[in-house]
Amino acid sequence: MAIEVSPTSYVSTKAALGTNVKVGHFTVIHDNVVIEDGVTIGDHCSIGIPTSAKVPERTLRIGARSTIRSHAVVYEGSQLGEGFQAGHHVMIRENSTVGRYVSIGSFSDLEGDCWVGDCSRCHSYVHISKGTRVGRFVWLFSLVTLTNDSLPPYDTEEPTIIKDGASVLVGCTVYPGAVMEEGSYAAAGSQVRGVVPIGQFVCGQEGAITGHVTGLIHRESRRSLPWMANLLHRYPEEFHDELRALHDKVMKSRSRK
Amino acid sequence: MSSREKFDSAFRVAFELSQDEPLQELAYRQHKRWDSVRHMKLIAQLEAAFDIMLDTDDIIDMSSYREAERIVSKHGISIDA
Repeated sequence: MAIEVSPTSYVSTKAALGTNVKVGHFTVIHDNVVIEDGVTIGDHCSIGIPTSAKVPERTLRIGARSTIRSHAVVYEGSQLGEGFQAGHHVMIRENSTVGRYVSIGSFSDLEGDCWVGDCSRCHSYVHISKGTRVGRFVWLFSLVTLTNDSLPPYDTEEPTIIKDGASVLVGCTVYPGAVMEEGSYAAAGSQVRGVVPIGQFVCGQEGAITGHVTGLIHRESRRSLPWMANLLHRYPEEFHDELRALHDKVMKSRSRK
Repeated sequence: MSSREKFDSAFRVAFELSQDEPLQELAYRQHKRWDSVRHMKLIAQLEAAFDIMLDTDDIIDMSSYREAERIVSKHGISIDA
């Protein structure tokens, strides 16, 4: 199938588009953009905006079968993996690396120099500060803020690290330098500081570590945490072994006191 | 501290209950303080108090003070002692 570009959109002659690429209305594809096969880009998007920042690689690569919804803004110099999904009004600054099958919800932003691992998902209105490291299979729910400056406005950058399988629930603020280890879990509205050990649950304004995630249940559905081995059907089969291993690792972190 | 005192203490710490608050009729979601987060605290308290590890089904089934007695007793602990 041919490339479909709306006549109201502009595609630079220095951009490279694969097959089956669709570009909606009033979208601009700048120089230094490589769009792989089967990518759909919505209306009013700006893709590959030049940056004045020093970046090791100017090319913006959008992986095969990705979908970027309307009003998204993506700067040059990032790598977006296969199956990437961006909601409406997403912004991605330069020099970010995003893995495969990652989903970034509407009105969310990655402030550049970020790394997001495979299969991680963030819902709407998530702010991911410059330099943040987000592992694989991470869940960032709506209105999560991952900060990076411990003494604004000095640009004292201390990005947060959210490791594989961690979950950050609605409205959490993760403070500069905080590390959420594998499978850890921040309750809605928590203020997360310091290191949250593997499989531990943190909650409240004080970010208190309250217990192990295995104690969190939904009695009516008989569901419990960790979730990784229970939700395999939501992930491509190639990731199932890794999810099972992560599940086991979190379970084993529950030790007798 | 007797096993009964340790057992009751786990409930009082997890649910932030005073010493004079009765425990015997406590049940999940029937007491305002027994929510999912405090349930998790209760599990942590009981496991630490008795040096046991509860399995997932027991964690889910622990729906009342009386049921918790039964579940902890499965680990060879006599709560009445």
